[in-house]
This record gives sequence, structure tokens and C-alpha cells, in this order.
Amino acid sequence: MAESRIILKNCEVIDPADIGTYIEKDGFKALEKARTSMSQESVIDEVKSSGLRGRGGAGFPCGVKWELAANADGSEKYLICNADEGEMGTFKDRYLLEYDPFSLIEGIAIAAYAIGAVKAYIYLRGEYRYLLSTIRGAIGQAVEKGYLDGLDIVLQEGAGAYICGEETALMNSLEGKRGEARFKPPFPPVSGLFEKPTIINNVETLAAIPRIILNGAEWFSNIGTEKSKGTKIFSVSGDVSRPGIYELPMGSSLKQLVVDLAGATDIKIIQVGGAAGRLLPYNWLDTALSFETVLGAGAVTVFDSSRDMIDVVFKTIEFLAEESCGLCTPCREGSQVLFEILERLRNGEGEQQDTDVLEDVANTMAEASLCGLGQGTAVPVLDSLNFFKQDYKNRIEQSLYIKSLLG
Amino acid sequence: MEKIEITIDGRPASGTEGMTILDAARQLGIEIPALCNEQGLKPSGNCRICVVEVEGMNRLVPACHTPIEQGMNISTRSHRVTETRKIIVELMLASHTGPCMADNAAKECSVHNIASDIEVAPPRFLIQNPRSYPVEMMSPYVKRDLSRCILCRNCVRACREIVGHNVYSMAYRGFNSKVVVDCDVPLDKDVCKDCGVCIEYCPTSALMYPDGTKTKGERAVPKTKGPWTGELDPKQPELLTLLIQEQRKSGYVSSDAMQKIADSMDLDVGDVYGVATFYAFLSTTPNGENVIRICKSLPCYMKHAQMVIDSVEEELGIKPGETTSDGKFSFELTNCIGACDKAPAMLVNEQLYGNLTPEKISSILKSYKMEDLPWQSPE
Repeated sequence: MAESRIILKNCEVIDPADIGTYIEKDGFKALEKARTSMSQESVIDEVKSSGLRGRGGAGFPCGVKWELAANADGSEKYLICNADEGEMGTFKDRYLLEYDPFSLIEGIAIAAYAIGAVKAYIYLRGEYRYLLSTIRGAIGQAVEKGYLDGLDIVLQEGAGAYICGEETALMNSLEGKRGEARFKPPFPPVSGLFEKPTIINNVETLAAIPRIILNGAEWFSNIGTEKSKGTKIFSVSGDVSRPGIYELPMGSSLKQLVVDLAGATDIKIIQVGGAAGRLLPYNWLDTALSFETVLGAGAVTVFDSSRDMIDVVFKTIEFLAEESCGLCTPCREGSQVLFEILERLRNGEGEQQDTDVLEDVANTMAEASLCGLGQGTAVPVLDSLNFFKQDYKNRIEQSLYIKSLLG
Repeated sequence: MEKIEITIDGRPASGTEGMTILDAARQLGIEIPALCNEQGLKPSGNCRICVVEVEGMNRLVPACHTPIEQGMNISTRSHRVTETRKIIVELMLASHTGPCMADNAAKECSVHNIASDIEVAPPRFLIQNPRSYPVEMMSPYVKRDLSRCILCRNCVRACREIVGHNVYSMAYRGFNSKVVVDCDVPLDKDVCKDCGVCIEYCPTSALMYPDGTKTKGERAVPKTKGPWTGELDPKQPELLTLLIQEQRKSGYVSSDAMQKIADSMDLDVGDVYGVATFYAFLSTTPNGENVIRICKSLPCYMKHAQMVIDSVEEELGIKPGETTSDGKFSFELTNCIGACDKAPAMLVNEQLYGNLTPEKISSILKSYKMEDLPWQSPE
């Protein structure tokens, strides 16, 4: 099956350093259309009826979010582009920013117009600092051409913190603070950056906006499933022969992505949605990728039969534990406990009660953590206990047997 | 004002807008245990012991900062709530045992009191490397034993919100989070007087009077410099940018640099230190001219990141966390850098290198060995 490149249509086609090549491909036509022939409300309505949902993983309806901010009190409102993709295995935004920064900038300009923001931020993860000049150059050219009149786009770089991809932590970081998550309510569209109404959208979400405005909501909503419209960009890595970026209609199967396109031939585990995402066995290959089933931000890592399941869970939790902000008890202490138990299991020092403790701590983190990081840390642990319990049992039995031999 | 009708543990209750679940429950005489919630302090929502179940919500919610809404049906002691609460306390005990279990401070410690109230058994797991710090006795007013701290931040907030000073700041991240003074030095500050407010608000025996006591009951009347007039939560948007610039210019952010930045922004240096130690790409100790960051997360790990680590170690003769003796290179391991399609990958300063092999690494490092101060190279 072939890809359907809608969001990525310009990538490796245009010259990201030359706005002229973007304009030739209908660039900024959507912005002109919005500004000249559409009211703010009708832009929001168009996005609402397109069914576009947030591509950062949470899947909140984009137009509904915009409407909340547009209707919020106060004249000062902010738009933030979340370019802090830190989810393990994710690199789709890197690809978009590198090869088509203009689609993002046009999307930002349209979104800012719709919600009434005069200032927008792009928060770029520190790991992607090498993309700063490309993005800065693209903004400069758009300013020169007059596309950003009345809008100030500020480029802020991060400094190495996965948690800052969480929207409230990102706002704290933009305010110059520790990137700790905030409790909700208040929600950002009501009170966000500097306590002003704020919309935070993922790079991919914003890059989809020009396509929707130019081609219409109906065109977009004809693609995908009932509750997941449009296409999705996937980052595929791990035991596949063709790792990379693929754009597919929502509802395409895992098999189409990892076998047909990425060339996986031996599959034991598929991690969908990164570290805080799902850990699934091979017999989920026919699952349709969508918000209704599994998706996250579209990171897919394949593990073949040579991989040790406990090692995979251990490395996943190691990542999440190191990236916990440390604000709330369940995540700060819980991820450390999970990490230590999994490290023991990995080293063949399992104990009988380990699976019970893993399950209890993971459930508590899911129930009581302050933000999505802590809640998400539970997912790979619970999935592995659910789908790969025998791996744990074997490891614990082995450990106890060796221990008994050693006396 | 419109009345909000709710149900708590099957009993009808009413409240007004802005009231939290915790307020409403207390009105009914229903006690919900809480550690980081204290009268007079803004809610922080960090301890999570006060979680309750609200019908129709996916997850439990903290009673201390969740506003009541019309028709809410709340359970404060369902099985789901009590099990979760017990494990949160178990987690606190697991990272916090040792000294207070052994001496009479245990009865002064709210964690142990709550544990006995809600019948938490001794933890089934212990954290192997718990946070452990030397006891600080330099201040004539406060004895700090941070190995007993549960990071509820009451001291940070009480000093700020009640006394009007800002002696404490949060620093580091995750499990290593710590309440620090300035750039993590023992408490001995002129501005700290004998008000005792932080001691009174500390739920554990982490903060005590120098004689090792901790009065309970009546709150000490705080000798404040008057009601707080400054902003509770200073806005400092340029701070992160200034720190990143300093990191780039000097290769690290020194205590002096942090003090200068703090002075220029009218901040306390502890808060600057707190931000600097939160971000992995900022360093408060000197680095080599070139910083090598090898990705160790799963997609690179499974594509032989260890080979990359071994090659760099061999080329440079240093281990992760070390700097070469000529000051040319520092070497770190990092989490996912978003180059999983080019695994194994690494960053040298801000330059990305993927699909690494031992030969490639050797030639990359050679090019840096010949360069001068590459971090000052243009973007």
C-alpha cells in the first residue's frame, strides 16, 4: 500500500530555505483565503467540522479547543506551537520542521487569526537546536513577504526535558520556570501562559490547518475513521528494514505500516506511542491505528523475537523515571520503585511478589499522578503484565531457582 | 451566589463557587488526609494523598485543588480510593524510612501518623538508593535533616507566602528533587530568623528546632516582615534563555553567573539554581569544550548504542560523566534525541550524527580535536 502524503506533500519537494518554492505549491493561499473571505468564527467552524484532533497524542478536538480560547475573556491571547516532541521513538516533527517549516508557519498564522492571538511561540526542544536556523529563516522570509503582519512569532528553545512536551509544563518553561506540570483546572484555553487564554497545538496539527482551510473540511473528514479524521504521520524505528516517516490515512492497520511499508519481518512486540504508549504483542497487527484504538503521537517501534521483553520495559521505565519532573509523589517515587524492581528482574534477581508490586504501583500512578507523564508511566507496565505475564513468571522462577542453588 | 449541590459519601452537601472538594468535605466533618495542604498556603497538589473518586471521572482527583461542581457525586473512602491512598503512603515510607522509624521523631512525623491512621503496613518494597543528605545544623534557628523530607514543599511555600521571604527553592528533578538554599548550600542565611514558620509547616521531622524539638498544636505566631506584597510566583520569561546563553558562552552555568543573572532579574539565586538544575542540557559544573551526548533510549539502545559508548570511551579515554584532561571533550548519555530512524545517534554540541559506526565516530571526533572552541561556531 502506498502512503498518502497530505501534510507531508511538500517535504523533500520544496526548498525549505526558499519561500518561493512553497508559494509555487499553493503556499499561503489558505492564509489569504482565511484572512480575506472567512471570519474568525468560520475558520473555527471549518476546523471543527473537519474533525481534526490534536496530533500530540491526547487527541482533543482542535476546533473545540480554539473556540474555548476565542470565547475566553481578555484581549491578550497566546498561541503556542509545541515543537518539543520528546516521546521516545518520535521524530515526525523533526522531519516536518526540517523539510517544510512554511506549512507550520502558515498554520500558526491561521490559528492565531482564528483565536485572536497577536503573539505566537514555537517551543523547540533543545535536542533539535540544529533546526533553529531553518525555522528562523522561514519565519524571516514570511515576515518579509508580509504574511505575518500583525503577528509576532517568538522562537524559544528548550534545554533537555521530556516533561516540557506536556502543555502546562511547557508553559512553565516558557515563563522561564522549572518545567513542572501544573494542576488543572484552570485549563490553558481559559488561563494558560502568563495566566492568559492559551492554545497549544502540536507541529503536525498546525501543519494540517492550511490543507483543511484550502481544500475544505469535507475533503479532510472524508479521510480516516469515524472519530479520527485525516491522515497521521508515523515515526517507525526498531527492527524494521526501512525505518523512517510515513503518512497514512487514520484507520490504516499496524501491519500496513510496519510490515508493508517499513519492512518488518519478525515481530515480537510493537511499542505504539513511545515510552508512555502501548506495548502490544504481534497479534495486534491487524489493529487499525486511530484515536479509538492505539495511536499516541504516532511513534511505532518494532522489537523482534531476539528482544527480551523485560529489557524493553526496563529501558522504557528508565526513560520515564529520568524524565519525571518530581512534583507529585506517585510519579516521583513510583517511577523509581518501578525502575528498581525492573532492574532487578532484568539482572535475574526477581522476587515472588514483584509482579504484584509492579501492578499496584502502576495502578496508583495511573489513578493519582498529577499529569500525563506519571499516568502514562503505568501503561507499558500494565500492558506488559497483561500481554507478557509469562515472561515475568519465567524470569522470577529462574531467579528463585538460581538463588536456591546458591543457597 | 448560586449554591452548588453535591453528594459526599452518600450525604448531601452544598457549597459555593470556588470551594474545593476538601473544603466541602470538612464542612461535613469528613476528614480527608492531606500532607501538602495547609491553611494559609495556596494549594500545591503534589502529595496526592487527598485523592477522592468522583462519579464519571476516569481517574481519581485530588480533593485539595478540585473545585466542586453542580451534582458531583464524591466518594472519599471507596475501595479504589483507600487502596490508592495506601500505596501513595507506602511510596513515601519506602523513600523515607530509616532515621524517623528508629527514633522518637516518628510520632512527630505526619507520614507515620497517616500510615497508622489508614492502616498502611510496613512497605513491601524499599528504595535501594533513597535520598540521603547530611544533617544541617549551621543555622541557629533551624535544623534540617532532608533525608526525612517528603518534598511536599510546605517550607518553600510557607516561607514565601506567610513570612514574605524566599529562603528555600526547589532544585534538581524527578527522584533527585531537593529543597535547597541558594546554590544548594547548608542553611545559614541572614534573612532567616527565628520565626519557626517552616518548622511548624513541615509535616515530617525534616525541619526541627536546633534542639531537635518540633512544637505541635498552636501554630507559632509568625514574626513576619508584614503581609506579602510581592508576586507569589515571579514571572521570569527571560531566565531560561539567559541560562542557555550562559551555557553556550561558558560551557556551563557557574554560581557566579547564576548570582549575576539573579541580581539582574531581581530573583533569589536559589530560584535560578532551581531552573538551571532542572534541565538536562544546562550544567552547573564545568564541561569540556565539546559535549558529546550519546542517545541511550530504546531505539538507539537496540541498534547498538553500547558500541557507540565503547567507541567514544576508547577514543577519548573517559567514561560517561567525565571530561578529558585537556578539557576538549565531555561525554554524557542522554534520552531520546529524536533521531531513531538514524540509530544509533549522538549529538556533538548541537550537531546531529546518525547511523554511527566505530570508524565514523573516530573520524567525527578527529574533526573536533582539530577545531577551536566549536560551541562558539555559528548556528
